[in-house]
Amino acid sequence: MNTPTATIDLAAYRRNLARLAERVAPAALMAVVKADAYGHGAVPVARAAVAAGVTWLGVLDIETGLELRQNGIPRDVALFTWLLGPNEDYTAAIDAELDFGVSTLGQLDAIARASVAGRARVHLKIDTGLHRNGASIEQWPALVAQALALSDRIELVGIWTHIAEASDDDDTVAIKRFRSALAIAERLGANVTVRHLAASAAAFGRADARFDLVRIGAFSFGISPGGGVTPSSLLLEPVMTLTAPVIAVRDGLATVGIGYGDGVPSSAAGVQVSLEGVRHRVVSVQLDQLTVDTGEAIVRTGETAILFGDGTDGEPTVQEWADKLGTIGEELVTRLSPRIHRRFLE
Amino acid sequence: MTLSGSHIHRASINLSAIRDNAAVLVRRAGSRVVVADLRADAYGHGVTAVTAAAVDGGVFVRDIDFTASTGRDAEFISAGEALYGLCADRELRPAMRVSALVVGTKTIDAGESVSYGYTWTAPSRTNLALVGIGYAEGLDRIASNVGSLRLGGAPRRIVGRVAMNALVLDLGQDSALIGDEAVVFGDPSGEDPAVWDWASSLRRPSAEIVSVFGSHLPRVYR
Ligand SMILES: Cc1ncc(COP(=O)(O)O)c(C=O)c1O
Repeated sequence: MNTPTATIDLAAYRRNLARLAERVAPAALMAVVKADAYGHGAVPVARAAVAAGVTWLGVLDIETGLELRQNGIPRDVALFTWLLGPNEDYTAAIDAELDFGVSTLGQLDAIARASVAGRARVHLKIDTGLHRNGASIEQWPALVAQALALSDRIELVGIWTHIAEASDDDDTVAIKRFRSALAIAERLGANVTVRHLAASAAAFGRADARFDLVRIGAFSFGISPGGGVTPSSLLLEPVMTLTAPVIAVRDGLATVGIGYGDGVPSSAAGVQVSLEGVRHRVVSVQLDQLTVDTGEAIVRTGETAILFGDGTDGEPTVQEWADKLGTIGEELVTRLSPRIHRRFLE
Repeated sequence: MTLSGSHIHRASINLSAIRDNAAVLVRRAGSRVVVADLRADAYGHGVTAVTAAAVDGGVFVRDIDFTASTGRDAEFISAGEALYGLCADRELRPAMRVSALVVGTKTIDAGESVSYGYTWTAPSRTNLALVGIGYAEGLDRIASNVGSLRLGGAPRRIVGRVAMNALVLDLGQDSALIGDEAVVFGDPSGEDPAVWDWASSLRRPSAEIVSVFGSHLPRVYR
């Protein structure tokens, strides 16, 4: 291939989902496909998840939810949104039967106002320590009571939170807070069927975090948390392979046609890429190319460099890049430009 | 990309800045021919719109007729960073402005922490604003606990880890409303922070900053 390409192995993605679904059962699995499915391509990835039997997709915003419905994701698959701005078009979102993760009375009222024809599906969020969104424990009873009072327009489907994964103990505290919030809601008369708290790590590691549903992004793409935890140690396969062509060779240096304008961090000098099964060090990153020290190796223009992949041919994984750059795999895959060609393997 | 109905975040591109920068570069170049550097989708500014604005300002673009229109013996200079206004130069203006809206507000007590890994803990009771932009939009994760956005007339520090689609600003005793705009960088001749300050605080080239934001955010032209 003569252009930078992210090859997405949808079969590997489906295998990851199957392994994760088995692990978290009897809890259900929501496949998180926000941020263009972590740079993997929201529509093809969502279709693959649905083909694998997933009935919940985490889409983050209304725009992505509408896009997936327009691309044929059926209405018996719930599409969960939770980044809700001040000027949302809830009418279109309710028509498309999206689910809303709601943190404030203001959001609840805006949704209720738009919900004339049917009942909008709502999941109320309690803040259990992350302090991003979610109602505080002081605001919680009023939020629950209002959702119940609006029951002609709002169907209270779920109660949820998101945790910090700072330590096992901190997560235990968050789980306790979540349980208290559930108890308060119950006392107020709420009868929710979908309680959810965990993302990848807690869903994988802790039975007491799973409740009725877990929301899994990173692990489904074979992106592990790092710090020694590899995807293979979790029996997960990296889904994305990033390649780019060698466009020039000179004096033991190869120029590879992908750069920081394409989303490869400019700080990537020192990481390795693979050419014909041999690893070489990146010397520098420019706007549209990288320079690789190939030493004595015989490298030809037109060869394909693998930046990262599943590691089976000796190439680095995104985990290795992330550890080396002091970040997480999610940042590397979401940073890639949408202009990079995505090639999908069924 | 078009602007989403929700307007949570955007890269707004000032095409008259590109046109004016082009004119300045042409004047400075004298007899040499200035050619626009349009790589990486015009450094994330959008190649189609930038081409029109740059040509308007007198800069050349490499196309099939290029040699014919410039003359064979011309001496060329390439305009990249300067064309997009990425360097501190009194005659040039930055073309890109990156901003996002406050989508949540909250007050926390001393000892409470923020975002993944609880990497920041409030030393005293404080007000926070949740802003709808994160590393998937190009706001580097290394800005966690380091970078600031301008909100309500002052720089506000990012506290806790930048997440994929959101970050938290510490407002201290000040407050913000949902819908308020937080600015990452823009035109420093007004109130906005400068892209080169944002870039150098993260030790990254400005060209990388604008290319990555511009390729992920909805772009609005003005
Ligand atoms: C609310 C929520 N749930 C689930 C996820 C998925 O997280 P992970 O990629 O760790 O599985 C995210 C992503 O950050 C999220 O914001």
